[in-house]
Amino acid sequence: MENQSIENLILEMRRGVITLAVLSQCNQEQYGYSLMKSLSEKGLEIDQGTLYPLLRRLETQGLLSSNWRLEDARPRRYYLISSEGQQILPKLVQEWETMVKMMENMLE
Amino acid sequence: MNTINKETIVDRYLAAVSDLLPARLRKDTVTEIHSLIQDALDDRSKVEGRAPDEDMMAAVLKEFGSPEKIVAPYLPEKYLIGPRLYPTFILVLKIALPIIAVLMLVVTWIGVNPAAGMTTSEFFTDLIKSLANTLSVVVQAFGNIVLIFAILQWAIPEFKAIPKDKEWDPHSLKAISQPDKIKRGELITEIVFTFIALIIFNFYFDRVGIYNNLNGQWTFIPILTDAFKTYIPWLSLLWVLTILLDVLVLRHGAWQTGTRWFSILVSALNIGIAASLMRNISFLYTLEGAMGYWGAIGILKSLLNQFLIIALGISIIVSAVKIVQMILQIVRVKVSLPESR
Repeated sequence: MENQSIENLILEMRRGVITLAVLSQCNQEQYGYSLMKSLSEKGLEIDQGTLYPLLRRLETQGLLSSNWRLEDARPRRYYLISSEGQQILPKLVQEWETMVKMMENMLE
Repeated sequence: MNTINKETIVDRYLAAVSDLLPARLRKDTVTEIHSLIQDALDDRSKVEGRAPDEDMMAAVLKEFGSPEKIVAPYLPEKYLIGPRLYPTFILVLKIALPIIAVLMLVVTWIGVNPAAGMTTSEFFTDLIKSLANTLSVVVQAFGNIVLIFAILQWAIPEFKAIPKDKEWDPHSLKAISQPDKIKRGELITEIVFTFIALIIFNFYFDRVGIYNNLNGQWTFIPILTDAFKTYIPWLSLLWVLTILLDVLVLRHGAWQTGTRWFSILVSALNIGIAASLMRNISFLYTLEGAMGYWGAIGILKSLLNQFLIIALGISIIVSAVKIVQMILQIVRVKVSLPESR
């Protein structure tokens, strides 16, 4: 029960950084699975049920663009950060750095 | 294995996913999930050094989770009655259902057999019929209220959104209610008048009637019948209990769970007596002795009966509302107790 609570708290904390993490990895075209692998290699495990709806949402918000492409007779949807996303990303990074400093001060 | 000709477990999975999605999202989302499954299978195939088979597909699909789980994040949150309408919906239910229930009980009870002299078995049969009718109407009313709110939720876009913070004004906050607080003035007044009624109907029953001064001579016409007299023990019990309750509440200085249950008992007794009085209203008083004053006694009595039935109906509704309020307060106290400890 206690472990479950800790896991839920960690999950909640991670959820807050997923948007920034995904946007930061979409400077180059990525399809869903490659993006998931890329995030996993960098230490952020994210399941399909979270990633794909998030990509859709970011696309709806105009921060990502997507297009379907056929590769080996298989359709794949590629995502790329949009110009609007490129403008917002540095601001989000700056905000993240501020938050990290703030938390470091708090936890000292 | 032949994945072209044979239906695979992945095909079945995608079909199940497709069934759960709305038409506008179906094609795109299914293609996307299919693509993701294929990528995952390719990856696992490379790691394990063998071609994908049914077991590998099953293992990958297990990681993805059930079709319901994978589809859930794609779907917008749907409400039959959303958070913006819900408080109003509950308020309407709390007001409408008790009133409908009480009115139905009264109407069916009166309509069952207005004549006196029914047997015990007839009485219980009528009682069960009355309760069954009431339950049926209350359930129908609940369904209709849900339907109306669901239509409002669906038809009015404003109800789909959560209210914006900027629309909210802190001054609109309601004062904190103090449900335990008592109104001493009201309680004392009730004790005084109930006591007077208790004395008059028990000791001066024969003096209740119409007094008239004609040419300097006082005349008196009794109006209450012997049928009314049969109610005196019940009314006295109600009035004694009312006075006792008021005294207890005054002594405690606030409403408590015990006095609330006591109040529910008194209100229930009041409903029972009032409903019975309504049924027999024509037999309880007479205007025959007043023939000398009013010619059209029939019309007068009919009007008076209607007036008394309405007054008793209001008394029943007030008691029913009081019961609901008391039950809600008891439940609220029980729910909040663990937090306050």
